[in-house]
Amino acid sequence: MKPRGIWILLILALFLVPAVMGNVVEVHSTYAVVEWKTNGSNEYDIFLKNETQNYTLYDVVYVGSGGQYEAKFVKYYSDGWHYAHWEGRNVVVPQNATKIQYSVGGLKEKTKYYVRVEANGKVIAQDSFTTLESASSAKKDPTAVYLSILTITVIMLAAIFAISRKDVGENRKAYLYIIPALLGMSLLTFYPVIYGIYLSFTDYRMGAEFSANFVGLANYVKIFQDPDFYLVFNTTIIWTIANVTLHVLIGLSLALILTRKIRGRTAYRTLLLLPWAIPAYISVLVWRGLFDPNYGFINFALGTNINWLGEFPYAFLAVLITNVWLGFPFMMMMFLGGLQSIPDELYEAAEIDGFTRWQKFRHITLPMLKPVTTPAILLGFIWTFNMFNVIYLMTGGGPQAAGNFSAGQTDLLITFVYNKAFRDWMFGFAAAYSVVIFLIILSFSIIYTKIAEPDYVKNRGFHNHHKLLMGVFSFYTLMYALSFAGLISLPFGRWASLAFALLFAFAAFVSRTKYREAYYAMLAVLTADFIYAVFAWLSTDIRAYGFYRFNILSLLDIFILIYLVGLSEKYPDRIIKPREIDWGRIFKAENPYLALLLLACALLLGALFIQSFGVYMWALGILFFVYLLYPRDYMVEVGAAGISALSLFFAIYLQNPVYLVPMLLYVPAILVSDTTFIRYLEGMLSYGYLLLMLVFVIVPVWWMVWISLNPHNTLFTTSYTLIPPGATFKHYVYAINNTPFLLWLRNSIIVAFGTTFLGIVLAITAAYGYSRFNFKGKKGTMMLFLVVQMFPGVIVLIPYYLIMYNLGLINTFIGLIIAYSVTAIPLIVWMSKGFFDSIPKSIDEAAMVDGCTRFQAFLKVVLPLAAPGIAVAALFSFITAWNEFVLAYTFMSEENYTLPVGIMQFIGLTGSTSSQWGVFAAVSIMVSIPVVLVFLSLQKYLISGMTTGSVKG
Amino acid sequence: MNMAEVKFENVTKKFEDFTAVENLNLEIKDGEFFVILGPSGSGKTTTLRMIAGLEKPTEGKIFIGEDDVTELPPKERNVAMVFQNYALYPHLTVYDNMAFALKLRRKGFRRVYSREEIDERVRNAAKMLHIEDQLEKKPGQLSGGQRQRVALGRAIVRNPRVFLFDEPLSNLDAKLRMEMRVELKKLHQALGVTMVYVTHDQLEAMTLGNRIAVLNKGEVMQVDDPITLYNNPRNLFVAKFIGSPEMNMFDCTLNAGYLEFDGFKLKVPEDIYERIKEYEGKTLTFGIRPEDVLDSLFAKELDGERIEAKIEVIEPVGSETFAHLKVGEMEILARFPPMVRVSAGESMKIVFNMRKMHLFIDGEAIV
Repeated sequence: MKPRGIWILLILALFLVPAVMGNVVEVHSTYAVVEWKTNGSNEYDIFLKNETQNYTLYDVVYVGSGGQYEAKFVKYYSDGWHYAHWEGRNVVVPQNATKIQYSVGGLKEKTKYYVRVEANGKVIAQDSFTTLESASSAKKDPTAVYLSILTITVIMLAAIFAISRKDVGENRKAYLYIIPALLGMSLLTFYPVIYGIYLSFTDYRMGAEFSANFVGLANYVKIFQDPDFYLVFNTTIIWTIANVTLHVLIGLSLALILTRKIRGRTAYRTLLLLPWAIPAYISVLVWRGLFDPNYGFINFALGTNINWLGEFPYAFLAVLITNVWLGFPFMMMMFLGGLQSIPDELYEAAEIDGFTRWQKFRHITLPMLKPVTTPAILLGFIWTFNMFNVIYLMTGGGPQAAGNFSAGQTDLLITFVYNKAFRDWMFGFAAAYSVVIFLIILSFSIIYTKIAEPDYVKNRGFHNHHKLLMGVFSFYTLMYALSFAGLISLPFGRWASLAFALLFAFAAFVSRTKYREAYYAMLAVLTADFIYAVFAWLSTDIRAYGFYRFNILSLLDIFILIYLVGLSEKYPDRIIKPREIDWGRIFKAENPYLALLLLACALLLGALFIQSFGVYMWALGILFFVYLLYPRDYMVEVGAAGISALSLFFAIYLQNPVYLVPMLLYVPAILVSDTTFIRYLEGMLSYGYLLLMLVFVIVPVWWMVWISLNPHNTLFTTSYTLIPPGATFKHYVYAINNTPFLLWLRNSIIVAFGTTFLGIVLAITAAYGYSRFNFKGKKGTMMLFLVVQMFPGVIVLIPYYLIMYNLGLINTFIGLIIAYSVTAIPLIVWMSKGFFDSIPKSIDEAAMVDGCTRFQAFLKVVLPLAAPGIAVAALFSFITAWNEFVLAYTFMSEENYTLPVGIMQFIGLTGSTSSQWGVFAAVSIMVSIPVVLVFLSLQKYLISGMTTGSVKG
Repeated sequence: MNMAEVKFENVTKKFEDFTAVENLNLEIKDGEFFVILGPSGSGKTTTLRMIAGLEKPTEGKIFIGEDDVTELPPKERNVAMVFQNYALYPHLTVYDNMAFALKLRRKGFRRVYSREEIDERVRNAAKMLHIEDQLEKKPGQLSGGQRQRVALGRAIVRNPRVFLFDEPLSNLDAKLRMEMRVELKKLHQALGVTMVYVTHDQLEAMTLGNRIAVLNKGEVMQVDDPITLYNNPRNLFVAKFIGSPEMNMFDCTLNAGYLEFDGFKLKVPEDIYERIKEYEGKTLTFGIRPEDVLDSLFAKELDGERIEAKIEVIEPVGSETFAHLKVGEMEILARFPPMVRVSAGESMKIVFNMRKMHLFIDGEAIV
């Protein structure tokens, strides 16, 4: 892969030619630069067309006032060339500009285009050009790739041979069974990973600026100096935490409600699975339509006019809601399975022993759910961290960030890296980024599994957890010291919190007796610190460069919080929870006057705040009256009811719904108290919540059907009725007859079938081997399969692309099939192994006694028996390949588009002006229905396949 | 210790498709070890759960002590229950399992039991059950018997008015079961609390209970102390259920002072005959326990008829010998003391101890 000078010269030559030609001053393979002289007008419209289309408006450049376009696309001349700059949220070209250059992008290579610039309706510039062939198509070097493949194969076989030597005779056969899958995995995963790591140490660039030099750690240094990194990292962290929290909360709460015997609960549960069953790329595009600022249903329903996808923080909210919609069903199913495995007797014993409902939940349900919660959170973290589809297809990274950033405000690390690789063609740099992402995920996984692991208290000395805590706080100290040295800047508020946390941590380690106080103080400080960080992030003022960099410590807050909470679980004897401290003396139920006095003091303090004593007298009276109503034992209810009555009073009196917020106190009251009234209240609220979630699930589906029947092909509509006026099936007909839909269908079938076939061939024998044999490498290699599932696709995507490119496999079905097999193989191995396990080994043995060899027994006896299970595994791998978007989008070109990429074309990426929503919706529905049906009918198998795998791992 | 009697007044429990318990009336005395015995489906577990409050009776009332607890939820009844599967909290140590219920009891924000009190109770119970060394372990590390003790400990610590046991020994192996039976009995003697024990094993019932209530299909067949149940079963069901091996049962006809069987006759003793004269000519069921079927050689003092029997199978257990005999078409199981020497295929003469016989008509005992 060495540069070839002659090609560079040729390309440079091609640069010069168009420069002579007129208004187009630069031509590349995917973009061109147009230049024109200003004529005093405030607005310049740029039109573009190719051979087959008419002129369509590409963009508008405003002079003087600002516009919403990418700053780096516009340059103006005024004593030299400058980039258009930001003013607030807009990009501005100043009045004194004499010439303007605009970069027209998103073009296809080797195509002829015509461009026109108009001002006030008059044409002031016009030109045509032909884009270049991507220079990258010239360089292919398959020999290096073949050599590497050969090397890896030899190494793998040698390693397996070496391990197998140590094993007993019969077990050696096991290696034969697992070799195909293992070899496949190493070639498809480990090789690209290693290659990717190598890439990260080069400055490899594809395209016009080709280069490939070894630069050592330069890329990594650049990353940590890049302001984009901190912005995107910050966004990713907040995105991940918000999503996982919401997913778990919603999933758990729905699972709890669905375990009760309410009528129609199977129907509810099936409906709530819809978001999971519908292909993700379809759902995301549908949500994009829902959030359309002009005609989308969300704005219509809320009666607002919010620019959802174009403005921060609304864009973040939009993608958050979409991702929650996509992800909560999975969590719900996992929790449902976990809840069902808790024996009823535990609850009965607790009932007899006198637990309240909250205590049962806290001390039976939650701990017993740990084997489910832990892998759920871990998997959730990994998937959300790398959630490409939602961001890329909805906001494309989001509104441009203010300041010196090139990333968008909803860009995640993964979308940012993707663009660096496949838009800017900076492979080396992107590979370095990928490695960083992977390391972040890996460290989180390790820390989290260590924290969540059950541990036995051997002695009261130093444990791994203590060492971990010390390590983390050393890091804190380091950051603190660095800020002192002026190397990083800390907002003042966080100095204090850091200092406190440090102090208490130190106290904890030095003095065992002060452990408890220190523990709680740390918990409080870290929670406060994190809340501060979130609020600061939301407020537009503090979003400065330095703040982002420091916000990485918010991540540490989370780790430490989890750790501390987890710590208390393991050593319940050592850490007395606040409840166990004898607060009783203060809140003695027998002495209402004392309690009332305390309440009155609290109210007076509040009165100072609101400065309205008269009102407070009334409030006090109400409070006392409420207190009298309740039996003296229920202090919690009294407190909650009292404050709620108070807040309701204030809200009505002051005409301000903000005061209703304290009524949230009813929530803990519901949890803690057990009176019949509270039970009814809680029942109604649960039901209402369930209905709310059902509406949440169904609205996008309904909207999709609506759009597909809407006679207009765009989103245009004045209002939403249940069925669109003039509903018609014409989009469906059009889709089948006039679009490449059937072609895409064919392509998808080829790819999905190929993947499944390849996956089965490689994986089945491995599954059998793992099921039947017990050999030295068993545990290790099984872990390998599990770990591979954790690799974010981004790590492999970039080196993968290069490997495939060099083998000439880009835009071929084989290439895509091989890429998909990476995920298909572990999936099939895991699920098939489970099914094999359920067939008793004695059947194989009976067959062997009857005269078969082991392999014959496998083929003729076991395989037919496991066939239904394997069919399910195959089906799931088929569906996964069917629904996959990113790889198909990256690798394939037009005639080979699979359904996901093709369907997306109807809408285009964010900011594209031509979209055919009607056809899109029709095609989506046609594609979704069979997938949903298959998925829903087989949900049970997938859950058991995934949970057993993840629980064991 | 708290004590209380438990009373069922006309209690019926219906589930959607069947009736578990019909018009049940029971009186369990203060401090007694009361066993509810019956085959599966007899309603015994349902009855126990109604005492606990896990099920509510469809009709009728339940009293614990003076209180009508029919409407009370379980936690307010002050009862403790030991489950068949122990129901221990797997993530807590033994100490915590036993202490937990006490730790969480509150009046408002106050805790009902202080730390010292809890600690004292737990350690006392642990000592009583010989599990002081296991206090820091988790249930997963214990054997079945130890887990059972922890479950017991958890109940003891609560100082309840009534102890409820739901087939607690069925998950243990035979040897352990025997040991635990003795332990339970000792426990009852030490604590003196009312204990209600549900089982399907009549041996357990006999060895443990002060009194036993035999249930069948939701109805009480008989309530008595073990010996009475054994010697004076009031119906066929109880007669068959109690005693292992089962009582021998045959149909016969009462005819002129004789019980006529297929192939032989037995004379009814005078005093007994007085009582059953009215059943002259009717078909009765004759029951005789295996130990009351004697080898005529060793029962010279008995003046019953000697009957010729063929020995089919013998089971020498060491302390006695079970002999499966055939008289005509009737199969009789006899329980011979060790000095009786018999072998399969031989014939022998047997005699029944008529003073120990049982007669039933339509399932009800008349003798």
